[in-house]
Amino acid sequence: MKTILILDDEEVLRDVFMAFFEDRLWQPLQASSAEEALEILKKEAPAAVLVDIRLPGMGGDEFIRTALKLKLETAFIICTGSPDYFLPPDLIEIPNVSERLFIKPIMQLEDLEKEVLRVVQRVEKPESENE
Amino acid sequence: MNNKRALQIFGNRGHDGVARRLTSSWPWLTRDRMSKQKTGRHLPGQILSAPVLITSLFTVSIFTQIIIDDNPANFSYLLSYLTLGLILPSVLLTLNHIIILALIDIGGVLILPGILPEITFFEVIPPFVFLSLSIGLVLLTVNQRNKSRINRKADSRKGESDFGANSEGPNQTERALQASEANLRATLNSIGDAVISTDIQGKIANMNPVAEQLTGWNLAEAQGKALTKVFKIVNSQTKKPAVNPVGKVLESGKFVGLANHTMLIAKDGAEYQIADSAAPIINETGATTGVVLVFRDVTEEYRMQEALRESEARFQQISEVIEDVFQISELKTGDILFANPAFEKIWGRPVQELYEDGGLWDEGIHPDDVKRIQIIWGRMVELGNSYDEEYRVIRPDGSMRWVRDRTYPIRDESGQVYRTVGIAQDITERKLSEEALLKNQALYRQAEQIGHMGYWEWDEVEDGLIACSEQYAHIFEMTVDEILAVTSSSELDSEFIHENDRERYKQVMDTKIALKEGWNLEYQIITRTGKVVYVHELGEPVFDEHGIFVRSIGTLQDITESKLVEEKLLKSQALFRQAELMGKIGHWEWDYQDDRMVSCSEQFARIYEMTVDEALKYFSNSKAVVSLVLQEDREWFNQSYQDSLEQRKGHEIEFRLITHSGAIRHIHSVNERVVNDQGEIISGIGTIQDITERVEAEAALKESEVRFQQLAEAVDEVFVISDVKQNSVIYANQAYEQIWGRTLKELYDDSNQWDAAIHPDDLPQTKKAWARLIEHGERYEEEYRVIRPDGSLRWVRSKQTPVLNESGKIYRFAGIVQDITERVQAEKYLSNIINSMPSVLVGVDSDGKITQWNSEAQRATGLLPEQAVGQPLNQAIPRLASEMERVREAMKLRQVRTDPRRAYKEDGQTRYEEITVFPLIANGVEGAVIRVDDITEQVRLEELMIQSEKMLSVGGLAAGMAHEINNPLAGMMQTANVLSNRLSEDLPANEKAAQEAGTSMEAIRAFMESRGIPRMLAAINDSGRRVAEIVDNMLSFARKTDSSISSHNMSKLMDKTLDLAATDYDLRKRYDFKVIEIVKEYEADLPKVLCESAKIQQVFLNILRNGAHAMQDAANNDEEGQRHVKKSRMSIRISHEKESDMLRIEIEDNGRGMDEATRKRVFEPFFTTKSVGVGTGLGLSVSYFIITENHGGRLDVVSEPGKGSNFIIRLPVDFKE
Repeated sequence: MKTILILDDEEVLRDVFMAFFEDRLWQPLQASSAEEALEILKKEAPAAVLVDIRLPGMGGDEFIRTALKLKLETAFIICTGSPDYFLPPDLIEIPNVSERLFIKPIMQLEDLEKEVLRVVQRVEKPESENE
Repeated sequence: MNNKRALQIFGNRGHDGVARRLTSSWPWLTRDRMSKQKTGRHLPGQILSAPVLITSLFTVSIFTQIIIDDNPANFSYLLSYLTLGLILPSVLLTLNHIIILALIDIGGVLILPGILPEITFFEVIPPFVFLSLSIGLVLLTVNQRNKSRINRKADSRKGESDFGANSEGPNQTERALQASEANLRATLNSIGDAVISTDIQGKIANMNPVAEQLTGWNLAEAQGKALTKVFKIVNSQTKKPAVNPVGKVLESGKFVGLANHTMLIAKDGAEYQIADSAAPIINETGATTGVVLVFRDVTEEYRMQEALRESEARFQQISEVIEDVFQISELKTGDILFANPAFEKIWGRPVQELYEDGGLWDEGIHPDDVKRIQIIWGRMVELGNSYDEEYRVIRPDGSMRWVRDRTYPIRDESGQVYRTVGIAQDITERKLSEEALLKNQALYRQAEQIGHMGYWEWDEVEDGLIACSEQYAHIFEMTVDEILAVTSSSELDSEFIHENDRERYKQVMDTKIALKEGWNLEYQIITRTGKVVYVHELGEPVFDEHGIFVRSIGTLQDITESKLVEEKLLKSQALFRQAELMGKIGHWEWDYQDDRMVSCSEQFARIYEMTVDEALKYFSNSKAVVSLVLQEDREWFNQSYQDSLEQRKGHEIEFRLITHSGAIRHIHSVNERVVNDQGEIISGIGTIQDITERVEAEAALKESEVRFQQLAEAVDEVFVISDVKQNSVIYANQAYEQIWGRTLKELYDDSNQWDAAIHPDDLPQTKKAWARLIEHGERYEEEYRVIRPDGSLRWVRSKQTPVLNESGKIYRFAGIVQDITERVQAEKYLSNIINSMPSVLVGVDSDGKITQWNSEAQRATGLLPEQAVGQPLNQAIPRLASEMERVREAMKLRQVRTDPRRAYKEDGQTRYEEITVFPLIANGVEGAVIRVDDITEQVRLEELMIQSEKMLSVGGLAAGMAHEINNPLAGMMQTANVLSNRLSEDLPANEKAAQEAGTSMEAIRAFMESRGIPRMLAAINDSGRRVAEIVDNMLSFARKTDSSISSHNMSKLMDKTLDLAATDYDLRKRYDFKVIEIVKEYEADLPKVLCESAKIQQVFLNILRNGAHAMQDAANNDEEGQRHVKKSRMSIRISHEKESDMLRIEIEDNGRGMDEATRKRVFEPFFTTKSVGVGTGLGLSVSYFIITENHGGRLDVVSEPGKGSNFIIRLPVDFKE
């Protein structure tokens, strides 16, 4: 059972995402801020993090940058309510970060799960690819 | 006549004299005086003191005043008073002076002695004041001395006059002396007159201060002295001692008045003119105890009297000289109060009659004028205004005088007009001279015109004409201004005087001016148009005081006609003589044996200016013949003569001979010899013919040809003479080569060269004009282009006139051709500018008729300038009919008027134009220029811009809102998603939870189906999706896409979209897209378009969907009305607009269409005609945004209610962001 961390400042959305991933047999964790998420990240090392961008305190982009420095095999999937959000250039081409942006509302949550799995696999695989 | 106030004069002698003299000049005064004399007493006058008068003055006039006063003290007092009031008083004068002043119109201040103020001030003076505005008012007062006398008179009520000529005087003196000593002393000391009393010896007993002052002696000194020592009097004129009055009184015991002209010499030598009287002092017993002498200084009075006398004398002279009638009349009665004797001169009736009947004045006026004058008089009475009129007066003897009558109303104190005063001036002479002048001028003009005679004036100093009459200029075929512009004499001579006469003219002028004589000569001038005119000039030189010739004046007469007649006559006479001579050619017969002429004809002799007898006598040998041959010709004459003799043959020779008077004649001689059997010449006969005229004419012709040649070669214009029959050029000058760029030789060889060079476009018109010239002799004046061999163009103006032969038929044409290229270019330049303006420019005159029509106007209306010019504006452009008001307004106000946005329908489309009307102000032409600009595009662009801005503002709003909407929307939709998962899917957790709840997922699903839960969940999802879609659409107004742009085939993209639309609608089941008939018209070989295919597809879809809706609605509507179902049809056309390099995609439906208001708003965000919930109201505006903002294209819609809508997408083929 893989662990997924839901980072969102809105409780209703965290609950929905938790419920969805729980039903899909994930072990969901949650954090309402980037700082909190970083703490959890250090302790639990989840396979994926669902990142909201607009957050109180540290923003989603900065959170990913900080998290990447921990050199964890974690996938980061961005899910934001801002339609005009673009992935910052320094985060493009980083395997851990999903290039597909999810804009809320997500019409088919199943699509989200598929993408999470895809990036998780990509992050896990590099060694085998190197071999 | 009793309505006048009495003129009152104080009773001292001096003033009586004044009154007498005045009344003799002014009859109305006389009458008053007479009435006074009848009553036998003087009415006491009202005395106005200076301050009172000044106050009354100020109420009347402030600026100019007349002061009448004879007392210098008063005068100076008034003077200072008036100066304070900013009034400038001046001279001291008398009443007569006032009148004179009034008549001769000078301003000033008058001071009049001793005349009672009221009457003079209010009655006499105002007329003058009105007559001559520069004279102000009269202020007058009695002198102080008179005043004191009046006071004294009032005191001594006994009724006697004081120093008057009546004999009651002594009584009065006695009474005074009988008063108490104290009273006497007080009286003596206070009276204004000097009083000296003497004892019986004539020694001075007493003197009052005035006497002390005048005599220069004080009482103490004088007392006891003989009166004659102190009171020295002389005759002021003779300077001889005057008779001592005291002695006289003592002698006679009676009152003695002083002699006239008495002068007192004071102790210090000062001289006083005095008036005095002496009376005996009689005591109670009746004995004379002494004499009292009363006198006063009348120097001033005396001087005044003298001055008055002089002034009256002057006035008398002036009034005799003055010929103007001065009159005062009473308004109420119409009586004439006063008129001076001049009336008699003008009206020819005695003044006295006028006094008796004031109507005499009007009676004298010419019947044609009297009504007018009476009307004017009436107006004056009514309105109180003055008049200045001229009219005729008929005298009793029937003669007529012209009069200028200036009459003014006079108001009384209450402002009521009660009198009038006027001056009537005899202007007959002026009038007559005016008339005469007018008549003369008219006559002169007429004379000028009839006689073709003009007047001129030459200024030698300026070297130019300074004046001339119209007729003068007319002779030269010029206007006065034009000929006056020709300044110098050399210019005038060389330009206008015929060269044959130039020398002679100069000579005559020089001689005549040197002789200071006028001249009278005939010569020829050449007018501006080149006509030769014979003129007759009469001139008169004018010299200044130094005898220098400065000016000349004279007349010039066109005598061409008479000259021509004369010439014709001469010619015919000459012809006759010539005919005579030619018909009977002078013949001769020579006897060679005797070597003498045996016979000759009269004509022969005439050639030699001899009689036949003289000739026969003269030609007694052959030497005589030779002697009359001109020296130069003699040699060959002899030669030819000898030859003919030797050959025994006749000969023919031309030579010159000398006539009897020494004249040289050219002779053509033909003779024959008669030879006898021996071969000897016996005789000869021959004729001689005087060919002088022919020879000279030939020479002149030659000369004239040379001159013509020189002229022709010098000018820039082409002279051309062509033959009618041959249609060939006989002559053309050098200028032809310059303009045509071809040689004259070529032209002479082939006259077609001329026409061949004419521009083909101009040729038909010139040929037509030429034909008219040939057939009807119509004036030919054409402008056309000439193409030179090098291809360059010249514009020329050709004028051709027919030349008639003797029988009056056209046999030649003479023409002049001018190079007008530069002028035409300048014109073309302007018209090019006007024609290349992108606006319609239409010039109209004040009647709204078209005067100007530029190319754009032609393009817009299809009317050619020839068709449009002269037409009314509303016919040429009917839709501008309503603009005529604006045009008129612009012309009237001379202001530009605009109609900035004017909508009109054309081919069912609304178009916009801007109309500007410019008034034509220049060169007095009434009219306006109307500029019409098609601003349809501009208006559309403006509309579109407004759209874009609206959309962008929606976009900005959406970007800010999207995040805030998306989060709660996510909460809702995603929750619904999970909810659906948990309730229906076979998730282990679901199963587990169901079991724990004592049920199964099957049971739950069954329950849910039964309760319609899945549908409800789908509803949540659907609604959420719609919200998300709106937000997304709104965002597309703001979002700058960076998605890839690539080339796409629009037909393929359209087909794909159509497929998509079909499924889309199919799925939704709202209306069946498949039933719509799709008509495709795709142009072949369409270029690909750079675009964002997904977005373009979205646009197509939006428009297709919109069209489908519209057609659906149309079908529904029809169901309501007639049961008529229109087949829904969608026409899709794709073409390439090569001009703008745009791909044009039209999607046209046959639905309801839209009205103008809807059409305007159709691209507005949230604007929808669909029922709520059916559309987002953003589809078309998003499409609009995509096409215009994202792709630089255009999206238009053409629609009319009931006729469907046509959406036109234009996309640039080569789109660059």
